[in-house]
Amino acid sequence: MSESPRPPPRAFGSSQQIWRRPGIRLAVLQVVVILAAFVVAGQVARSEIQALSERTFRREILGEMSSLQDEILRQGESRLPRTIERRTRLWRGFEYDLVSSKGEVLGGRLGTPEGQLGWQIVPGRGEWGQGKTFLAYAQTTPSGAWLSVGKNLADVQREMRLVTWRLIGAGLIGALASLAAWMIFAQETWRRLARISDTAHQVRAGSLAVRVPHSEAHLADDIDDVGLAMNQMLDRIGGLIAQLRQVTTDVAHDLRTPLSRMRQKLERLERSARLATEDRDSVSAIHGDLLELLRTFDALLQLSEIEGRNLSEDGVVLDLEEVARRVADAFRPDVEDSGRRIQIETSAAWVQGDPDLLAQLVANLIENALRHTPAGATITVGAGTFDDGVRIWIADNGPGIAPDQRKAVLAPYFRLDRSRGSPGSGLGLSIVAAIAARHNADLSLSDNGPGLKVTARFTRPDGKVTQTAGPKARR
Amino acid sequence: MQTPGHTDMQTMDRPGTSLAILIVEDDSQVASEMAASLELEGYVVSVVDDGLVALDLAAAQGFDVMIVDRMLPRLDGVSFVRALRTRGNTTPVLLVTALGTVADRVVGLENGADDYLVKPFAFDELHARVRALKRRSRDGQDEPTRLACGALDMNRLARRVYWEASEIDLLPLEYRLLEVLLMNAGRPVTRMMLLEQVWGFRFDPRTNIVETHISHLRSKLEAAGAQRLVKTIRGAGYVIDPDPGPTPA
Repeated sequence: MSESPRPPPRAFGSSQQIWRRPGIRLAVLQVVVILAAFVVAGQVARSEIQALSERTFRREILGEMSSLQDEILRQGESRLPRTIERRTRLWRGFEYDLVSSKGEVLGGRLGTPEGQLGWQIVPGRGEWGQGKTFLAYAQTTPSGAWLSVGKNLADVQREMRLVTWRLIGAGLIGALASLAAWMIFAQETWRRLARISDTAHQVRAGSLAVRVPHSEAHLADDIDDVGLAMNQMLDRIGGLIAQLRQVTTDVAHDLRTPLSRMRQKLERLERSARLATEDRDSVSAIHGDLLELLRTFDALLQLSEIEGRNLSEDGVVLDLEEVARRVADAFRPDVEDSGRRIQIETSAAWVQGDPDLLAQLVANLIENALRHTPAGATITVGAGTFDDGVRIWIADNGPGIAPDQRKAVLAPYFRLDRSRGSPGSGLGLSIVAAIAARHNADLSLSDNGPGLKVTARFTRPDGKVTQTAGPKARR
Repeated sequence: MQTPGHTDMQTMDRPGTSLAILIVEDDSQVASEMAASLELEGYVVSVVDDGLVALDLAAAQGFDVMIVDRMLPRLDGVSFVRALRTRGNTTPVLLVTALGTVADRVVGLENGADDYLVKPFAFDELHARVRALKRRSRDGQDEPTRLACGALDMNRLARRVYWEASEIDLLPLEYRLLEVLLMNAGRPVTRMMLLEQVWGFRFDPRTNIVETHISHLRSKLEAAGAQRLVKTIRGAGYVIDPDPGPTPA
């Protein structure tokens, strides 16, 4: 047993770590996949759109080229520079280049490299052409001049950026919508899981009658199956406990009735005047043994009763300080007459529990301390409210218990070798452990330096620290 | 409530007064042993082994105390008490049980039983409990503000105890112990009853709590001049009695 008991179990749904929720990782993965799909689709769409716009551009450029060719046919090539100059001024989205066969620039500003016919990409030149890329088509005129028509691709790229942004926007909206839809579904799933978890915690706290609620609203799925399986398990456990109780009751009844007759007859025999003195002594001895047998029998029955009991049915709110003082005061004359001392260090310590059982817990621990300490020892009984719960403790400055044996002494019938000769049923500390377990209290045995300190720390069934109705501990 | 035989308050506590007791118990051996021991104490005892028959008998005839087994054929002890109380019968009932669990005791008392005794019990325990129940039925719920025994006087409002004129200084537990003894003056109170009523313990600590407190109380009383007021009755318990007879060993 350690001084730092295990943390209380966390109730479902109280988790601050959203990452631990079921399905949340899957949901994140889902969003990532949706976004990736949009990126891929965007890329495909981009290249498609690019190809489409390029085709359109080519068609437009070829159209413009043939319109210029028509001009040449109709009006002669000499008017072409003027036409180009006009068309450039009016700007219909095209750029031109007209270079005579001698290499003389006759019009336009596109700057197509010489000697290259057909389709080509032309980077913008000079200050005007900065940042522009043209798709151009070059042809020779009937006079052998060099004519090219181009269109700025930057327009397409602007359009492409627009398309990309729209795609990103649509992707984000899609991802958020899917996340929202998933959340609505997940909330319901979490609620249903929380109901199963709540049921388990209530059972742990002692209410065996609770069952996982199930609704008829939806089709049965895996979660319903889990709830159903748990309910069936609880039915089975409930049945077994009822059976065990019945057996315990029957055994108690079937043993106590003959024991009653035996005790009555022994009592009558013991008082009989016809009995010789040595016979009377034997009868008294048998009577004493019978009483010892009954004590052990009672302790065993009590142990099984406490372990199989539903505390939430009979718990009342009580102050452990009062319990500790009452029991310690009851033992004080006994302790003092035996040459030991008892001291009380308590402050308000409110818990919910069974007053009779808690008094017995304190009494058993004081008796234990009384039995295992030499004369002159001091027994301390304490209770109080601390940050981690309400505690009650009984400490002595006797020989103590070796760390490796501390847990074992709580088991039924375990007795340290040095106590084998002394009286006691060997069930006292087991009953203490059972009472503590029934109250959701952590029982720890620690070194009192020297001696033994037994502490029961009470927490509420939901794992929270027991609330205090009284003032904070003074210590 | 019918209370035959309740004519003389002083004599009714003494053996020899014929008080009617009904035992409802299905184990004939246990029932006859109980009946025999109670008859020795001077009671008139009727034995019935069936809850329904007992219910009819209780309606037809008045009893001072009923001793009812928890487990009976046809109508169990708890149902019997509940039925009895529903019919307005307030006769004190001592529920006797072989179960002995805390929950069982609570169920018994909640359903109208007045006291509860776990089998197997000592006859002295049974006798003391029957006497206490009889007193309760006679006194009703009245709580006297003063209790006295010979020259001993307890003022329960001031929580002070006097022997003749001098006050005896008692610790709270000693006061409560004396109070319980005085409420049962002249009748033995068992160790188990004291544990329940003085300390509120429903379990038996394996130490001499009761004996030690009694001896402390006794020495305080004797220091004040009250000699041999609290007597030990071997096997039965303790009694406070104004008659300063010889203390049994």
